[in-house]
Amino acid sequence: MSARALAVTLALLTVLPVEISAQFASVRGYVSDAATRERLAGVNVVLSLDDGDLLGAATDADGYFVINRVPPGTAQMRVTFIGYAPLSDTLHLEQREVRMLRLELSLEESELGEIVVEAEAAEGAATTVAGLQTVRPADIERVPMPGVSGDLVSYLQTMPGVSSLGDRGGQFFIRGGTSSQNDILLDGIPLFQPFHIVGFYSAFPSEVVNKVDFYKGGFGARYGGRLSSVIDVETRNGNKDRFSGSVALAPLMSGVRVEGPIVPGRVSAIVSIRESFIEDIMSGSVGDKLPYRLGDRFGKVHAFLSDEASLSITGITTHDEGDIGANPESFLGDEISTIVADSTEIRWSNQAIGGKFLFAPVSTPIHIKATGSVFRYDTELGNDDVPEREAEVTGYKFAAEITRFRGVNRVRAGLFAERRELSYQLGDAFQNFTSNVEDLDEAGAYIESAVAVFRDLTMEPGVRLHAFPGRDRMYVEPRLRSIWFPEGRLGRHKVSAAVGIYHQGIIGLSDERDVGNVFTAWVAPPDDKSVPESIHAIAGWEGTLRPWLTVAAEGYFKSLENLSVPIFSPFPGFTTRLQEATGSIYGLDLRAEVDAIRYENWELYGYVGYGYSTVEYETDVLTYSPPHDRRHQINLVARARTGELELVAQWQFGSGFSYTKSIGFDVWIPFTGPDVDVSSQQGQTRVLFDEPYAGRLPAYHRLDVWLEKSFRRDRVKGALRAGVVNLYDRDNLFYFDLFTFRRINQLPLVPSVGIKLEID
Amino acid sequence: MRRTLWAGLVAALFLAGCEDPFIDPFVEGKHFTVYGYLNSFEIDHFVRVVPVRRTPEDIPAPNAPHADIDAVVTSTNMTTNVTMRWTHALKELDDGTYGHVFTSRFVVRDGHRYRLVVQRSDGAESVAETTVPNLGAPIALPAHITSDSVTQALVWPDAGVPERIEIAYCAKPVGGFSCDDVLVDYGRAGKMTLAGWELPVALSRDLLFVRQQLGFADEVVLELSNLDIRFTSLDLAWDAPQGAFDPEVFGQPGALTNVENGFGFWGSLSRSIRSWTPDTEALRALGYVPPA
Repeated sequence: MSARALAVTLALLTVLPVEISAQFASVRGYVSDAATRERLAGVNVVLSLDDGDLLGAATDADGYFVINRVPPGTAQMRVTFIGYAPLSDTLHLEQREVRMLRLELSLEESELGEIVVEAEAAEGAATTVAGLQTVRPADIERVPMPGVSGDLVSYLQTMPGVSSLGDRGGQFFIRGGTSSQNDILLDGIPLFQPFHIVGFYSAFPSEVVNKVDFYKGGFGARYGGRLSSVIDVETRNGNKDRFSGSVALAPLMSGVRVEGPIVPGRVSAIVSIRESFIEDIMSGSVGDKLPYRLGDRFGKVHAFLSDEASLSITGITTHDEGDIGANPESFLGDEISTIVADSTEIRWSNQAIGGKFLFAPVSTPIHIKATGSVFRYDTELGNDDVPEREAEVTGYKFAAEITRFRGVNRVRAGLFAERRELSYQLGDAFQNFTSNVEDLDEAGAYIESAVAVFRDLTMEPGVRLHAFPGRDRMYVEPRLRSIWFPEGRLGRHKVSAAVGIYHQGIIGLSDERDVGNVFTAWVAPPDDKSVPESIHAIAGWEGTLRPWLTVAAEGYFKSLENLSVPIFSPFPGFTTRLQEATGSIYGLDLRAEVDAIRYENWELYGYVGYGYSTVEYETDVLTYSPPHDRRHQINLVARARTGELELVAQWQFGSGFSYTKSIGFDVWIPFTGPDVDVSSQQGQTRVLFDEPYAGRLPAYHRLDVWLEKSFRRDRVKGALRAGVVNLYDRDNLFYFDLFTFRRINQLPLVPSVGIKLEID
Repeated sequence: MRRTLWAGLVAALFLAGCEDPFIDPFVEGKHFTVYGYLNSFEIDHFVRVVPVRRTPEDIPAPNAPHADIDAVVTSTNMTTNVTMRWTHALKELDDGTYGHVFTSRFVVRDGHRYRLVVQRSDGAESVAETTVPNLGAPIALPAHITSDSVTQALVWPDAGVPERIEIAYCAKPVGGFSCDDVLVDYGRAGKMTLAGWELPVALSRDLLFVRQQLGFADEVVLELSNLDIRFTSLDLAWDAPQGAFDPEVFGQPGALTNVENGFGFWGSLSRSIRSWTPDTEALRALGYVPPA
């Protein structure tokens, strides 16, 4: 079946759930945090009917839920969410009645055994649905990190299938994709490099995160434009009842958060400012220089315009600066100064602002969302005054989406348009100056639905039309996600799968000769070449084998076509000359999570994840594993808590990235014919590569240990955290320069203390 | 049991911590980079030798550390089995630094195969071989005559890659006493076929050019008194990788090299000058009188 025929079939499937029913009632509404009025996503709302049947829904990212086709009569409603006290009520519903509810949940110790009604909800470190993992602030806080507040990036690094360069660089490789193939959204705003130069931090501290939908592949039709993954971050709204905030002081990252009502009960604001003092405070204390400056500013205003509509404005800036090649150790001693290396000083920043309007009319079971954003990303490599390379992306994006609910089914349709101006200037000692400015437009539409085909099988067919108007190309992208509960929706097992076709119109061009070359120039695909394409196939199983033990396994395959990769140049210097490549990626993620076990006075939590992945690219002349190919990965997190004391340890292991071994140096003379006088031409120093990417760097592993003491005095909550990064002081390699044979190591043993005070 | 488990975990982490993260990025087996060629029209020959090193070669002065080279260069005529030892010299290069150049003096024979060995004192050696092109007389294919053009192809069965092909036409008015040479440069024109290097000679274009160069009006009947083809041929392997001398392509280690256990290129060159007379019918079609 061709992609177009498949797309038509899926489009027909998406409209199936829209059916006419007149005699049933409908229950819908919002669920919020009782203290902060923050809308809660993923809350389970279940109706137990007189005949014993269950109907239910989970709130979406905006806290909205709809339960349709409710038989008139009496229904027992139960609203549950981890960390909140359950809410129960009895509803008496008339024929055709539409009951609008405003539900508020209060914080409480987490309750186990809740009924899961939403197929797509996938929370907990071991819980995944066809590539999707839903991450909440509580999940993030479970992962130890230097500093007192959690950060999304530290959590992501514990996930199998997610590789990073380590503790600096800000690059992530998700299930074999490059970092430029990840779609990162903050309240719908596209961000290009929101991960900080020190790898423990991103622009997403747990304090401002409400929910993250993390797709490692197989994402539905509402997402597109990237080949590998989606990190869709929804931020919190500020407290609408009272002012609250926090102050965190730690050398690696300190921050202030303030939130509160502007118009009590209706309009709120939240502001977060973070800055690192790693360079000023820690450089001397650990022996090595730590020349990194980073920080971010986040702000959001949220307003209920009416009972049916809300509007939020989100703004963010990030800044990163540093020398990722500081403290080099030469394999060759002092002689290495004879060759000039690429600069390792890099800077990047993001500035973005966006708005989101939500409308959920009482009279109709639909939900309308409109978003718009403007964004800018720029990066420089080299000296601050005269950078060797610069790249910039500016643009704006608009999207609108309507969701119609019908019983447990749902249809969602949307439109999007995005314009970006891409520019770069590249030049260094070894190459001619290259610069370019170009526009890249993308627009399209999608429709997808969630259909309960059978009682225990939900299918999510969808199709996306993704057009690149400036290049006169349009692609039809069929998608299908499914989830099956073999023992019923309340059973212990869950089987899920996803397939889809994806295109990416923007190419992140980096120097693939070395994974440590983190400078990325964004370019449009060459006019004469097709847009890069990927096909994903994912299948997974998850079992809750014991109330405290969840185990999951997920296999995946991605094919890659029309990739544009830089040619492999034997001369120092970045090249924008591209060659076409195809690729294939396959792998397996395994995880197990042990939660809420008590041992004497200790409450224990444990998580282990293993990821296997193989990435292979093929060009006309070469088949190779690109430098982000990491085959094996293990993550262990153990946490023990007694009273106000908590001990957390994390061990990470990653097998070595591929790299190109060297034969040595010689002199290259362009010996095109007898007219070239080789006895007088000095020639050009050349590094002699062995077979590209045939070598493997040493494995990476690190143990971090943290001890935290928390306390509370009335409205003031505090935490004091002390710990060590890289406890056994391993010389983990960050990257190895192919031209100077310098090795740059990751952080050595770094002790850290921090304190956080929070007023809630 | 539990204590054993903990002890095992701690031991595993300890061992993991002690694992050596040292990396040696070098692979051995390539020893020298060589650039040079044999010229059958010369008796003095030279070859530039660059030792493959873990640090870039840098010889700012004759007494610099890299000024010494652990290498002996010999060449052997594999047809006659005669071996020559080449002489080392440190030559100043264009940028004022120095490079290792080895020289030798002998007669190079067309069609003979030569072997160059650059050997280190530990026995490690890089080897290159070249077969000197043997340019015999070209074979003329039948002329192709149409209403607006006349061409005739020539084929050199044993030629290598042409470095340059020139055709010298010598024309004079019928009954004239002397002719003047007009040179037409064909560069590297032609293509390699199963029969050899095939060059289509564009007679109509060339002879029009000759007439213009000599300044004869169209009505003057010319006699082609002589035609020489000068063919400079390179070793067959001395050709552009992927069809063009693109530095980013043929600068790749391993591209355009015939050096075993090394890099660079050692080739050979030969040249021949042959007289040739195009088909009489072709010349008449062009209004020329064939040579007597």
